[in-house]
Amino acid sequence: MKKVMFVLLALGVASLGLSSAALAFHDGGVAECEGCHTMHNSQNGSIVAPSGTIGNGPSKYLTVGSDPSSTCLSCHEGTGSYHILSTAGDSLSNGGDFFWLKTDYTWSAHGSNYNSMGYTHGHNVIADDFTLGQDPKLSTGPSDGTRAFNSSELGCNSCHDPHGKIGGGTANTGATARENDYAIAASGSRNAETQQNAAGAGGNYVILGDSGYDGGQNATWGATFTARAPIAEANRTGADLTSHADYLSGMSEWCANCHSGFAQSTANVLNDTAHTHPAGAGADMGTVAAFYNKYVATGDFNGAIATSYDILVPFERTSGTAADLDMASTDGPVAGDQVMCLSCHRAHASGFSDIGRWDFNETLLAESPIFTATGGGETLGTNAYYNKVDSTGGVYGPEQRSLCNKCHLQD
Amino acid sequence: MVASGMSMLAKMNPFYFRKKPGVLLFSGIALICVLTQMASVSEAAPVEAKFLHKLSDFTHAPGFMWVTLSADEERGEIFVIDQKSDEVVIYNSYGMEVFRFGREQGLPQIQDAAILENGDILLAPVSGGGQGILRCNYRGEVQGKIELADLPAAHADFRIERIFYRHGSIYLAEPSRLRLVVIDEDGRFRKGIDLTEAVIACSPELTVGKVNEMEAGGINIDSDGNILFTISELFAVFIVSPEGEAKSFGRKGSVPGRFAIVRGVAVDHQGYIYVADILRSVVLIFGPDLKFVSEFGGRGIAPGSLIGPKELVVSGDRLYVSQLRERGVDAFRIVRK
Repeated sequence: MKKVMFVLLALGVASLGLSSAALAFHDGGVAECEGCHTMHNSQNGSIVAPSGTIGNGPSKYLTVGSDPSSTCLSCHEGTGSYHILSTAGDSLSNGGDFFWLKTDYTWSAHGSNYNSMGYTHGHNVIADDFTLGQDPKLSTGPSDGTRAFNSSELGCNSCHDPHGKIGGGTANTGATARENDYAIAASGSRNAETQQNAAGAGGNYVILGDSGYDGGQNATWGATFTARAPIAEANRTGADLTSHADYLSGMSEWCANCHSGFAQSTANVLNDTAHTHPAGAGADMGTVAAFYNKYVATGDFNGAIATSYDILVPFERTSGTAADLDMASTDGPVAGDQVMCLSCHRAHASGFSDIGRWDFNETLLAESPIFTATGGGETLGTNAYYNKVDSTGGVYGPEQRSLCNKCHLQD
Repeated sequence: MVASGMSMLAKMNPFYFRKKPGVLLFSGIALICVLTQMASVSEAAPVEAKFLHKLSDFTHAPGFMWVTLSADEERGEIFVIDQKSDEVVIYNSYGMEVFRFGREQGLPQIQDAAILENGDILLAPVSGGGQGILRCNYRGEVQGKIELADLPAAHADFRIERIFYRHGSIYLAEPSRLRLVVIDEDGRFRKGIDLTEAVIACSPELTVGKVNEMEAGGINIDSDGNILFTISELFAVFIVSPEGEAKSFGRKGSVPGRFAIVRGVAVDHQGYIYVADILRSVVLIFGPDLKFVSEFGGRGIAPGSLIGPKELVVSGDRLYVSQLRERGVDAFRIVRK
């Protein structure tokens, strides 16, 4: 009888608990299991995913969407705030807008026809509900071959750990004191007090997979992340000079969890036998930091460190500490800060090939084909440049050349 | 029902509650909670939705995905604003395409449309407030432009994302920043509405800064001028009356009647409220008293099932639902018992 009473009491308490207000779907990390998963391919008596008709069989990983990414994008589709898949390329998030994966544009020049295909614009996450498919060209992510990730398995959960574990989570028996705080403490996990720091972890930056993460239970990859999630800070309001991601360390090493060989530590590219631009630990900016700070625009080298930060060319403030991260900082780098993968590329997608933050193939940014191409246009172009460049020049002026020059001063 | 349940328990051990009255109290509360929740889904619903058809032309049902819906109740027509093709496609009440216009007619990219009583069409271009609103005839031919010339400084950076027309007022919505502006048919400013205030009035534990990070996943204006909008992070629907009074409802969860990720919202003429849950793939129906009535859909491709319902619009006794996965727009008949 006591058991009966206990069950009734528990049900009652649980029922009351369900009525309480909650402030975010993730609740800081993992959401309620049933929010994303269906246990028996059913919902209220109906089959959720008939085999062979939706996604990869009956709802792979038992997600309520056709696949993990479709499940994520059900909420994250939209414009602004935490949305990363818009219908007009106007979700100006730090990671970029997956809209660009669906945007091909074509143009003619010098008597020839050219194109910029959507699949070259970003990480081709597979989300059937949003008609986002596998990369048609690359079977694995670019790397030196030692840790190539299969593009057939790429999804949001390849990079982000939807369950919000740190250091492999509870299952990691070798967890350190920091790792024992395995659950993300608060929604968003982006505030300074919840970032990884010496005092203890509150959560990984944008719930990126931490060391030990398996890239979303990738069946064919067979590897796990070796690098820790990076230390950085951002909020959800997008990317402009008053509210931008501010990076401390570990970003490039983390990218190299899949893109092995791309985080070259040597600061001198001439000594790099891999012929790869330096990025990550050891790739100190050195004298380049002074160039960055001087550079305002093509022909204008009168900048100062206090105002030289450019959201289109971010860097890691490696010489500082987590406490120094400031999403509104306009400060440029010092010699000990580092170039990273995201200095030139976005993480999700961009309006340009190679996920470039700017058009790598154009001499003058204002002449980027996206402004005039069929399938492009002025609005799309300014969105792609986060409102910093338009077809008449934008904030840099009409003569602005490639932003490689922000560090290299070759213009 | 509750009494019989308690009686049944008491028969199992008649001396138990006499010995422990506290347990009796707790168990009673628990039983009421459980039975209340069970009752909320087992009662016969006074209204339900029956699947009718997909919007289509003579050959096929287009696989719309990124669309906004608008209704011309006067003529029973449904407007589908498809940003993918840059077209406005018009369907009659039988779900058959009757006309379309857009980029080929030289129009800019359109993100929403509203229909005036005389059949003229108001179009909101993607570029936001800078260009104003285009006024077209029923063929989509531009007849003029409504400039937003006298917006107060507080609304100077307003961007039009949605547009509604109700009884002589044009409601311009910017759900991404929880704002509305109401103008007349000549573009004269009537009032600005900050929906942030409504959210805080209903959820005083939130700060302005926190609410400023949120956006409305769905927004609509009913025939009485009430503003309805959803905020998925709060698992709630908010209603703001023309007098500015705010109320909200909704609870997080995965069972019938609960919200996972809410998007579109619509109201019929009897005051029943329809809420699209894009993650649970259902449309929930709430009564005028804001109590859960029933829900329909469920993920799938069978007629009547839904995949990622997003936008909703009511026209007469019809409810139209846009979906993900290029599943197009489904029409349901609202049936009252």
